[in-house]
Amino acid sequence: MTAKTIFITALCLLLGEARAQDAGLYWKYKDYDGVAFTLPRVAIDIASAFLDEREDRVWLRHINKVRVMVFEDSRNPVTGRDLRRFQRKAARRHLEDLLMVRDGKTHIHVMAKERRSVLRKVVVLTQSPEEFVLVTLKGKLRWDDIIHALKKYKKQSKEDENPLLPAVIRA
Amino acid sequence: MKNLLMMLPLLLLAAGSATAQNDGITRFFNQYVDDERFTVVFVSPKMFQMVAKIETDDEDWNKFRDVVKDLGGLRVLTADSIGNGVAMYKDALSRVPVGEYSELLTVRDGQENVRIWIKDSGNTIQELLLLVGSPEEFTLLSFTGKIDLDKISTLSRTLDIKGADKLEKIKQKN
Repeated sequence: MTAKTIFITALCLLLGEARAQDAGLYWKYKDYDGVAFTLPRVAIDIASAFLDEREDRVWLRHINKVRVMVFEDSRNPVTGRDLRRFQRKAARRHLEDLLMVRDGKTHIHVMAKERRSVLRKVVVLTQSPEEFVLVTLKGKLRWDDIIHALKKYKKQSKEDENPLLPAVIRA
Repeated sequence: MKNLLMMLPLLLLAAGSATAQNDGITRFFNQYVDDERFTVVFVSPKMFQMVAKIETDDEDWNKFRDVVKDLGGLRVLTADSIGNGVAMYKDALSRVPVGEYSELLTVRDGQENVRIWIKDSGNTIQELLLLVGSPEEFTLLSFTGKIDLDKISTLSRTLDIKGADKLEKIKQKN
């Protein structure tokens, strides 16, 4: 009986840990007043079928899941404590910091998990007094996919007359 | 075995000193990382590695990639209206482990102070540290990795970060 209790407790703890990081944050706040949705693999596959170019379809199929959560107009319910916990857990789950910018009360955080030169997960977290944005992308993104996305963006940005590099980088 | 035991304390001391090298500046950075008067930028070595892997035919991107491909990391702490920039500059200055760095450049122009240090090993520059302090402004910028001074001065034009323009002085000096 004791062994069974210990086993069940350990299993619950393990499951809790497995649902850590962004998922924990998402599931806790997804029902608050804002925008929160998850695009599963099936939806991405269906969406990819509507793309004209084969390259785009292949590229999109390397994404397994997209999760977005947005709170606007100062209605951000995410507490600092939860964010700190999210960051602690992210570090434990090998989600590495790529970029962090803080300007006044605005925070931008980009994290990624890479294994064998393949990006498995990318998390972008933006927080300011006015808004909170969490975007998670899960999949198997290779460098070719990122180059493809950059080329696509470049093509698009030329049409819209936006530069490829962000404003902070003047080439 | 006896030799090994004798070597152990020496090794521990050497390791301790190696980690202590940059501790003062790291502590200084961490002290102000959450201070809202400052703008903080941290780019991890991983990010630079990723940028280096991305090859495109975009000229601007390739120029940028060429500059950052050997960089290991970047930390910037900057503020433009703090009122005690000179005091902060002096505080940061006192925490630079002078023995570990060689001074590359010092400029004092009126109330503005600029200092650049490098840490080198053989022919390679491993770290570059820039400190700017004036009554209203303060900037601490630290690059790590394999640093080419010409490329770093190019980066000063590329990055739109307050204080980074001071890196241009390296080229003027050379």
